[in-house]
Amino acid sequence: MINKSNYEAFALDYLEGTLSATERREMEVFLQKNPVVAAELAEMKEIVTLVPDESIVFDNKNALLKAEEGARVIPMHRKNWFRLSLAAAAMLLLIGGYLAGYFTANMESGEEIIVDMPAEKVEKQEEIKVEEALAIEETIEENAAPIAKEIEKIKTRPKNNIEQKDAYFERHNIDRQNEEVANATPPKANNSPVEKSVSQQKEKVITIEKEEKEAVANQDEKPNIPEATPQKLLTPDTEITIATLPEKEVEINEIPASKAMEEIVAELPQPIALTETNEVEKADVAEGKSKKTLKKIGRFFGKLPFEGATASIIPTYYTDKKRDGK
Amino acid sequence: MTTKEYNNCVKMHADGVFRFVLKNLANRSDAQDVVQNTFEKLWRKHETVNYATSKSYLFSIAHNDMIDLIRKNKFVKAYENVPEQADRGFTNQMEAKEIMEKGLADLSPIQKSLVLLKDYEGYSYEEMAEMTELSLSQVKVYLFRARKKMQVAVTQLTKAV
Repeated sequence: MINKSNYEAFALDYLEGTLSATERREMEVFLQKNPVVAAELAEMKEIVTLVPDESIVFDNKNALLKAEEGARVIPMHRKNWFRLSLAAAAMLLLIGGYLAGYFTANMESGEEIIVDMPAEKVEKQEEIKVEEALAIEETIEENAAPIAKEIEKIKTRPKNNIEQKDAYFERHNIDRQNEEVANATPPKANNSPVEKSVSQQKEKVITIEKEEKEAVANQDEKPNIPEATPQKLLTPDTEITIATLPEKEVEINEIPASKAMEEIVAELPQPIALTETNEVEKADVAEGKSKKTLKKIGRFFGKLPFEGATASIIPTYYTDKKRDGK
Repeated sequence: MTTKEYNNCVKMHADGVFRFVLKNLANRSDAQDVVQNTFEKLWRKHETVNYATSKSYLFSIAHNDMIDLIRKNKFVKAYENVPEQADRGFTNQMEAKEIMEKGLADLSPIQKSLVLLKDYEGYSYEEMAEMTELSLSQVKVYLFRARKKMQVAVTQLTKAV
């Protein structure tokens, strides 16, 4: 039912003639009852409509546009121009730095680059190269003899377990022991394991010295090393073959399970330095306190990393300890 | 919509949105800011907005931003309107267009928007209801009252001429 409180919602449709038949009849009934409203609507029969002014346009449409297909259109405002010029300068610097680094690296590797260099500099560079080549030659010659020695040692390396341990220890302590052995007093006639191993070690040292002398005397014998290629000026293209040691399988026998821990440790060759420690420590070893001994060894050679650490100068295959220290 | 379709929206509707906003705000720089913000908002959501309804989406955003701006500057606008009303007099050489503009100036922001949307852009009552977030009957009532006011103003101005 159309009345004074709701007639406005129907007024425009009535004026435009878009009301339904029912609604139009109701509206006409209302207007008949309300002549003032009817007069208002009569004045609005010709609805005044506004016409847009086409001269009013938005000036900066380009600023609203977005670049199509992935490329971004950046309008060249002052702010953008400054930022873009900074970015361009940074790019140029990067490219220039990269090129400079590339050329520098190429020069160091010795490749030919067409650069006008004064003759003196070129000569100097060649001299440096020759000197370097000579230095390398010398080191190769110097190393040839020790390499031969190593090969002999490997050949004569004992196969069984205890001899291997001795040989290992000898290789690492031989320089230190040479002088000490020469000046050391003969060991006491003692049945302690330490003294036994020390005396054994000294005997070994003496035998090895003899072997070395023989090796020096027999220097003319050709060792089984492939001949080095004739020395020539080193260039990136030259192939340098350095004598390689022939492969030698080292047999490591497992420690028999029947042996007790104490026995195994007792058989270990103790370093000479142990003799210089306290008598108390010798007693400890005699009592079979191997762990304390190892600690002392560690302390002699250097500070232990943490409380409860054990020295590890002896290779782990001498003990039945796992490699992770447990 | 695609980027290309978005750019089409810019080319086709930027002027219309600007006119629509300018009539309400009467300040060119404010109107330009509203238009830029409106298109920026459309761009941000351009992948989810349908190209067919992009025009009404634009006017909807513009209308809301405009109303917010007007409410923020309500005090300033009211002050600015005083001299305008004082100057409103009767001249013989007043054109119909100017009379209409005068009549429009007396309307409230929502009434103005509705009149402009109807006359400038030709939206239906339903579309205007959706854009202005009003009910259909509310739109019709506002619009009827706006037309009545304008009619009265035009009649008075015409009689004076």
